[in-house]
Amino acid sequence: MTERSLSRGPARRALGGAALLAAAIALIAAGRPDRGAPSAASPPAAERSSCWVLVDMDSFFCGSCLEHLLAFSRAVPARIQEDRVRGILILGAPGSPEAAGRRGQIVRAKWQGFSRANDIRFPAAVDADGAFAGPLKAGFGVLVFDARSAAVRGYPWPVPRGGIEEILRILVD
Amino acid sequence: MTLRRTIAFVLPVLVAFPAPRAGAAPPGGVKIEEVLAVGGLGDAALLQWTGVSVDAAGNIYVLDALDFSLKKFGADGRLVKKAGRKGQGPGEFTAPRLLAGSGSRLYATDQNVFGIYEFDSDLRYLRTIPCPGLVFALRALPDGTLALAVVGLPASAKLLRMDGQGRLLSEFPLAEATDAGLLMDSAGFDLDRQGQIYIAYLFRDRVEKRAPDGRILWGRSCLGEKKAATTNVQNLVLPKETCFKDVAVDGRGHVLVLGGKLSKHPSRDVYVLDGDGTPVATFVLPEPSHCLYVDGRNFLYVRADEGLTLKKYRILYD
Repeated sequence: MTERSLSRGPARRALGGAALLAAAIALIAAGRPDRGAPSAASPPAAERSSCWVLVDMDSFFCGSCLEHLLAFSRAVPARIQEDRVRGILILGAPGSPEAAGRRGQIVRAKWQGFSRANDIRFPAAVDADGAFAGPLKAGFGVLVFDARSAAVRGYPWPVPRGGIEEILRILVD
Repeated sequence: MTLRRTIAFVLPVLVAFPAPRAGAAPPGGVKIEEVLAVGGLGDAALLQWTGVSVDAAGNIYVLDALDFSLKKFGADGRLVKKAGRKGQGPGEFTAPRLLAGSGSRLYATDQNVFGIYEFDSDLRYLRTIPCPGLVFALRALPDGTLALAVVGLPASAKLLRMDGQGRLLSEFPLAEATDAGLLMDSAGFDLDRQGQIYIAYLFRDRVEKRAPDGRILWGRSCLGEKKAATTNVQNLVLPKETCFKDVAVDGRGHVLVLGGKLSKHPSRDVYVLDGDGTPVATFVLPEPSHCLYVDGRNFLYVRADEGLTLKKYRILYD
């Protein structure tokens, strides 16, 4: 990835280079998350813009901390959430493999209930190997793969209105 | 960050944050025996419960922070009813936190609201009782009055007694030292049948017994005089770790104090004192909890699975 691809914007925090690079690699390697087969008109997965929402599961113990996430989901239309947005559930201290496995089950159950109760439409997966812990620690809440400019953009919480509009433009282009 | 937002943010996080699990519980003079699990991994009944209250019939009422609700479970643990949703209207929550019950009334708090929501036992919202600060501990008493610990603005911690209309009946400060920083005097409390008050400070290694008028009857350390670390944020002294998380008095008059981060098994050690403050035993919860609740029949309720489960235990004294 070139330096040019890590673009900056007014709504974005200065990028934590290594952290964002790691996330970008994971994001692009993962491609478009599957939910049914793509239509014939869909471009290849790696050419579609997509958005990853980093969910710090420890923030679930802080009611106010969830507000940013809820505001973001309210601002993004359901169709876009389902098609282009994926959540990454990030665990705190990993502990033993057994404890991490149990914690993964717990956070999945919490996410399912939380997203159902709050009409969040994007699915989420557990960051089992801590791949997104770096970007989270660097302050990013949302990562967007902009297929048009081949860039990954990072946004800290709370994502301001202008940032959300920018993300929506990227995702629908 | 405003002072009010700082208080509302820091206090619940420090108290509710899950501590890492430690080893198996060693036996002591007090044991607990699980009798019921409400919710759980395979059951979406609970997501992250915060406050709990149990009525005389054994019905369990729970606030849930992730679906912004108040839930009623039967004595068998089955969900009976759910009320509330996210919002700022009557009966709605932005961050449900504490729950207390007496008779057919339930009293709930929202960490973003300086007030107490009153519900009936069918979970119908009745009204909001105003109060002069952020409530960080709440008890509903059999005579229809409320006892609550609040941090007001400016930040002085007090224990208040109010009637059901929100009229102040009495108050006394929790602060012991005038130089204590913001939140440092936050405390959980419970009352015995004589109305005497047991206080466990969240960020100080001190448990106290007070007379109903606030006089200190005794005070003691349970952690070997440990001091909680603090930090400075915008010239505010804020605690970084908890000494204690909650306190409850059981039917025998024993005082159960839940240790915080500074205890040997964080959020799992329960120090048992008698009414005079003499240590009786220590037992260890199987999983970290953010609170302790003892119902009228001497059952203990604590958190498991990071709030997906509520566990009910029988307390067994050797």
